[in-house]
Amino acid sequence: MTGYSEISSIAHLLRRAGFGASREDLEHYSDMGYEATVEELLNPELQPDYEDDLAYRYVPYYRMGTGIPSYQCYWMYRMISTRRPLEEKMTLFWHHVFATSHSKLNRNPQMNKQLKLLRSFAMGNFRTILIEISKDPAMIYWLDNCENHNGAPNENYGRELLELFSMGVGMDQEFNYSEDDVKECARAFTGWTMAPQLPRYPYGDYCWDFEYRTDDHDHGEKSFLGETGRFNGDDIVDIIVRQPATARFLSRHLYNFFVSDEPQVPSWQTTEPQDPEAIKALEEEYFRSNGDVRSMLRILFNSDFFKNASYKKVKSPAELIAGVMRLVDDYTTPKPNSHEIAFAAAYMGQDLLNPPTVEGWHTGKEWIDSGALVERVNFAADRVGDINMPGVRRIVSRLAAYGPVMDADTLLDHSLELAGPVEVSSDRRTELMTYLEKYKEIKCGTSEEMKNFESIVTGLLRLIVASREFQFA
Amino acid sequence: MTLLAKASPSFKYSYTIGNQAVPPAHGFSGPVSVAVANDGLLYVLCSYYEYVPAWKFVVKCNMDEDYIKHFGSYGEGSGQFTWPNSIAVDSTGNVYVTDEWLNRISVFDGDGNLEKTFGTVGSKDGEWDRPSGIVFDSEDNMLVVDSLNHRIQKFSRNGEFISKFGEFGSGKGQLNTPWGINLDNDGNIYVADWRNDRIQKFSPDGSPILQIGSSGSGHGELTRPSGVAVDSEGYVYVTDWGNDRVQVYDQVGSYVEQFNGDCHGYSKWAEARMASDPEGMSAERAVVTDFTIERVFFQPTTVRIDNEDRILVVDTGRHRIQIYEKQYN
Repeated sequence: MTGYSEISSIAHLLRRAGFGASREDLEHYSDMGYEATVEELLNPELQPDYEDDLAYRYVPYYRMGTGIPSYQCYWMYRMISTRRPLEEKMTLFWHHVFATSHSKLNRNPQMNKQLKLLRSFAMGNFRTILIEISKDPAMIYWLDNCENHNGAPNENYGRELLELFSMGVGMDQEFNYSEDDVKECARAFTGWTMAPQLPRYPYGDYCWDFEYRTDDHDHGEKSFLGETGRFNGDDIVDIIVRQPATARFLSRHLYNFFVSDEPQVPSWQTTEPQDPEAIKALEEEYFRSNGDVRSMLRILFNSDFFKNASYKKVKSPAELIAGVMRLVDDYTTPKPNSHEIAFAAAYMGQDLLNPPTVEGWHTGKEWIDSGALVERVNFAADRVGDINMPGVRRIVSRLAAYGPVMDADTLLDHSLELAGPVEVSSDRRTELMTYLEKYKEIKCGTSEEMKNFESIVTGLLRLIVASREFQFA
Repeated sequence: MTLLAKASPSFKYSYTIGNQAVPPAHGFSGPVSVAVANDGLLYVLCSYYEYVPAWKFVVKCNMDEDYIKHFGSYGEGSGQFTWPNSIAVDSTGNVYVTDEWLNRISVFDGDGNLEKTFGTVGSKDGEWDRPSGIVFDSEDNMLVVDSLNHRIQKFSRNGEFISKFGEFGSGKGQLNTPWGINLDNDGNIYVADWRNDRIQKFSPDGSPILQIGSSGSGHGELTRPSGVAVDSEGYVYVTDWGNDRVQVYDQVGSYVEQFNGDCHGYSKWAEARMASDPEGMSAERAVVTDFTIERVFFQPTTVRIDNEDRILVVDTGRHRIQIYEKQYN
C-alpha cells in the first residue's frame, strides 16, 4: 500500500492543481510519483479528451442552451468529471483574472465560447493569452472596446488590460504606468471590435466573432511605457509582456491562486508578497521561458514553497463543490439536475460566469461569512452523509476492512485518511473523538452491525467535512 | 422495395416549422424527436432546461404549422419527462415517449392524456438500460433501442417482449450506445449506431445486412449519427449530429448528398414572434449582412419521412423543423 505521506503530498497537489480526487485516483497518481503526476497535469493532452458527446446527448442544453445556467451547469460538470484537472483549473484561474460577466452581455453562449478560449490557451504563452482575450467578443463587449473608436477612444478596456489583466497599478510602492499610458493603450485598441450578430429570437442565440476595422483604428503615433511608434494592440501587448511588473503581476496571481491566499489585487502596489523568494523564482521563470505559463507552473508545483503550503488557502465555492462531488463520485457521468450544484456555488458566493465586477471575486477569507459557511458545511455534509453515493460506499467498505471490530482511534485515523487525507488539529481531533466516544465497540461483522457502522461512518464524515481544515485546500 | 430511379434526385429545402418558445407560446424548445401520425399530425418532443419544469414537453401540431396543444413537463411523476429521447405513434394514434433517465416509456392518447407507463431497468429480456429510439413496424410491434445494453428489442404494443438482437462491440451487427431507429418499406431495420459512427441495416429478423458510413467529417463520413430515416425509394437520410448536417445515401449505402440547413426567412410562428417586437429585433437584424448562421443546422437530432415522402429534419439547437423535398428534373 502506498505510504500516507506520499498520498498526502499528492492529495495536496490535486486539491490545488485540480479539484481534489477520489482515493483510487490518489493511489494511482501516488504510484506514478509526485513529479510524474505534475508532468501529467501539465500536459493534459496525454489524457483522454473530454467526452462531450455523452454530455450533449443526455443534456442537450449544455451545448445549445440560451440561458446562462446552461453553461454554469456544464462547466461545473466538467470540473467534476474531467480527466484533465489542471486544464480545467487553469480555465477557472483565467476566469478569475479576466473576470467577465454574462449580466451585461445577455448573449450567454458567448460566455461558453470565452471559456473554450481560456481552456485552449490555459497553459500557453502569456502574450498569446493577452492577444486572444483582447480579441474575445465577450471581453470586447464587457469592457466597451466596441465603443472604442478612432478619434473617440473609450479607455475602459485599455485601463483594465493594464490594471487588472497584465501589470497591476503598481509594485514596490511605485506606479507601473501613467494615465497617459492608459490613453495611448486605448488608442492602440481602436478598431478591435466584433461583427454585428443576429438577435436571440426567433431561432436561438448566436455568438459574435471578432472583427478588426482598420478604418476605425487610430493609425497615429503613440507613446507607451517609454516607447514610441504607430502601435496597434498587439504591439502594446508586446511591450506589456516585457515589463518586470507583468512578471510580478502574473507570478503573484499564480501564487495567490495555487499556493497561499494573498491580499486582494488592488493592494498589491503597497503590499509586499508574503514570500518574495517564491515570487522571484516565478518571475525569473517567466523571463527565462519567454512568458510560458506551463513552465511557471512546473516551477511552482515542484517547489518547496508549494509543497509546504498545505491548508493555507480557503477553497473557493467551485473548488469545494467539485472536490466534494469527486470524493463522493457523483456527477462524474451525466445526470439530471446539475443546476442544483451549479446554483450551490452561487449561494456560497461564487456565481460562475457572473463575477461581481471586472476585478473578479475577492478570495481567501472573504469567501467565508456566516451565510456562506452554513451553505458550504451543509452542502458537503449532505453529500458525504449519503450512503447511496458511490464514493461514500467505497469509503465505508474500505473502513470495514479494518474490522470486524475496531476502536475509535482506528476508525478516526482511517476516516480522516480516506476523506482527504485531512490533517486536523489536536482540538479538532478531540471534538471528533467526542462523537465516537458514545460507541463503546465499533463492529461491522454482521449485516446488522454493518448498518450501524454505515451510520457511524457517515456521521463522522459529516463532522470531518464541517471542520475548518476541510474548508481549506 | 422499389428500385432506385435511374435519374438522380435533387433535394430542395421547402419550409420551416417552429421557433424558440415555451408553451403556451407557439414554438419548440430543444426539439429532439418528431413522430408523424397516420393522419399527418406531428408530435414534436422537446427536451430543454431541467431548471425550469415547463421546458420538457410535447407539441401537437400539423404540417401547416397550426398549433393544436402541448402536454408533459420536467420531472419524475406520471406524464412527466426527465431525459425524453424519442417519440412514436402507433396505428391507433397513441403516442409513445422514451425516457433515458427514468428507463420507461410513457404512453399518451392523441390528446396527451397519460394512458400508462412501463419499463424495468436491467439487461434481461424485456428489460432495458436507457431506452432511446423507438419505431412501430407494420404489425404494430414496437422496436426500442436499448442503448446501454447495446441492442434492439421488439415488443408488442402492450409492452410484451418478443425478440432482441445486437450486442456491444464494433463488429458487424454489434452496436455501441445506439440512438435512433427506423424502418424501410420492406421492414428492414436501420439503427443509428451512435458511438460507432455508422448506420447499420438489419433484416426484419435482426440479421446484419449493411453498414453505412465511417468516422469523420468528409462526404459520407459520420460523427455520432443520432437519427435515420428511409424514404419510399430506399434513400437513407442520416442526422450527422456531431457534424451538424444531414447526409443522404442510396439503397446500397453510397453517399449521395448532404444538407447543411437552408432555413430562409421565418416560419409562421417566427413571423408572429417577430411581429411582436418589430423595432427591437428588426433593428438588430438590419445591421447583419451574413445570415448563414441562421440558416444552417445546429445539432440536428432526428429525421423522419412523412406520408408524402417529405423529409423532416429536427434542428434541435435552432428549435425548429426544416423540411426538404426530393425532386427529379
